[in-house]
Amino acid sequence: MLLGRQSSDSVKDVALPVPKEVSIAAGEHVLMVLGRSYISFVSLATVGLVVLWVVIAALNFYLPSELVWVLLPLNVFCFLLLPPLLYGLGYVYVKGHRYIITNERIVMFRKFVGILLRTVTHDKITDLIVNQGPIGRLCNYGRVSPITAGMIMPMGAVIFSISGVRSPYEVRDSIAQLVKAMEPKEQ
Amino acid sequence: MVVGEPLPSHVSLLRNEKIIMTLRRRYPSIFTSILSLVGAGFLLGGSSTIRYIAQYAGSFENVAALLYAVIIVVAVFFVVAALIGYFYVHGHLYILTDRRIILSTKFVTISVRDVAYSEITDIIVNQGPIGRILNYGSVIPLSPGVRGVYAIPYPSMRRFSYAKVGLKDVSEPTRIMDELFGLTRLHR
Repeated sequence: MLLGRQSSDSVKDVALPVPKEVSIAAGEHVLMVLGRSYISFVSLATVGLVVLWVVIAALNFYLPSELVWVLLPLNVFCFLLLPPLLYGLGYVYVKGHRYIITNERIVMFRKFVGILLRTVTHDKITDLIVNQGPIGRLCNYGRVSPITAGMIMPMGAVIFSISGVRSPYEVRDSIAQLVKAMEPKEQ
Repeated sequence: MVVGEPLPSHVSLLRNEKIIMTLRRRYPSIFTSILSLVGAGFLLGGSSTIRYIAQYAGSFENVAALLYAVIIVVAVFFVVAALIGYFYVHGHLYILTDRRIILSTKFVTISVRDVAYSEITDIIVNQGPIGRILNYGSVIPLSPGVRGVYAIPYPSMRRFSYAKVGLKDVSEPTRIMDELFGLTRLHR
């Protein structure tokens, strides 16, 4: 029952290392190891920052001059400290993502402060959903959500999915082929 | 992880069913729950308590006495919660057999969930920062009947439920997940 650690001959097309927390079973082959692209986080963080800056700028404009001393630390934090903090932490957050596709299952792994891991076998996948935002369409990244009977929409699509991967349609096609291969043969 | 431990009366095995492993919830996990409860309590009631104490700012003795009272109340709460938590944690028992997982919780009420390996669709592992240090975490096997909403790692978003649906705060959660995956492979 104990699963062996990943051996080098079980890896077919791997660019990124498999995290040490994930074990590959005997007879299981790693087909792809994907990471999250940093641009997917940057675009999201930038939109959030711009919205925040607009709110702070409006506060600066509308608040009476006697309350400027209140806004000074807020301005310093939001305009000077927050951007490097957000983009720096975001880099670590993005680097903590690994999506491992094997011939039997998909492992979605996130290590940032805590660890969150989802494993789903191909035969249990009922739907595959791909989402791309406008920046994702320009930069060719997106989210591939494997939906199962246990992980239904919208949870399966938002939290536990293959987020911010390059060429999401190619990833979707690869998974679809594996799902097809796992289907029981028709009589 | 002891096989051969006597089973609680509300858990029974099928004929020819064998226990592979028995897991229990780790006691240190209760302290993170207590700390988060104390933190939430401080966030909710802290400012009003400080304001109340500030009313007596003129008299140093009164402020000191009130601060001592607050510290004693928090300490008593912590001790009582840790004591109750001990029995609460020991009420959790997770049994992995060769056919199914039995998740049992006995504390005031009894809650038991059985799930066959063939019905498991997803396995979720969730480890917090303290869980990573102390090597414990939750393993949640999802099925079409118990869906992903129970596996959300953010408690504020989780639907309130009496049903205990996962192997909460067990040792070596990633290894347990590997064992579960191996068992689901056998029952495909």
